Amino acid sequence: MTGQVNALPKARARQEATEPRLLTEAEFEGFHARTSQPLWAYLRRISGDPALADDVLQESYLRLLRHPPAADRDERERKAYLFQIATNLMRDRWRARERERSALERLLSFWSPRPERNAGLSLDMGAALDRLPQRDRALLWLAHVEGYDHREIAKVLGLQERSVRVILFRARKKLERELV
Amino acid sequence: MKMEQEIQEGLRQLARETRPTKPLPSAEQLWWRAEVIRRLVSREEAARQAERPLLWSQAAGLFLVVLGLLSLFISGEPRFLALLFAVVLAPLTALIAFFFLPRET
Repeated sequence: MTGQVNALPKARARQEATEPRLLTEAEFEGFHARTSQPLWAYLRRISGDPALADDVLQESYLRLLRHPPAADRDERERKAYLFQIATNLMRDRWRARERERSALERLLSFWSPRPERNAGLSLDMGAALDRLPQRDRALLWLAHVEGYDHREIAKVLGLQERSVRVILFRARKKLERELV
Repeated sequence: MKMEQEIQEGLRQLARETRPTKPLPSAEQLWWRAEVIRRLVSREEAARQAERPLLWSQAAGLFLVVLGLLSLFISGEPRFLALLFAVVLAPLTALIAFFFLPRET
């Protein structure tokens, strides 16, 4: 009986810990101050479009406020959750754009061959990154700039944890080839 | 290994140099936009919930009408419809309207 009585508050505490909890305004302000700049840089570099980065950044925070992370998550996990939301939103935008663009590109491909690399740009990390596929850019950024491990990258990008190591290795090799 | 370090350093340098061209929306702006969306969504949800009893009572009313008509056709007796309406359908409809229809506040 006593065990049951003691179990109730514990069960409630466990439930409260895993349930989403609304952030207070002050908590959100601090979180925003620490994450908005890195998130914008990530979105800017994986999309190559500052205006798109602005839009997705704003939408990501609005979605985070509407669907807050579980209360037991620490700052690092909350940030990963925000990056996951942003990545999903960016993926939706890419798909929409791809649909619009593919027809036009087929028409224009005859007149617009792939841009040639020149010596001046070969050392430019930004330009080299822009030449990689979007998923590789996101992988490299999350691994090397945000310092996420394979488990976190898999969660943010919706990949299998086992395949992250291989894809990351290949992405790094591609970037090396672009830089050399 | 050296190349990997160079890539890491290059990407971090790029991250430091990647700055927004215009000011990002402040936390306060985002907070209030989210608040407005939250209120709109909860208002829509409340409106949907208010409509639910009305839909149920409409469905129940329709079911009773169909039941009455079926009874008429099966019995083949015109006076039966009048009796059925007076005894069963009218009080039931009144009860449904009384208990389930949303009231003006």
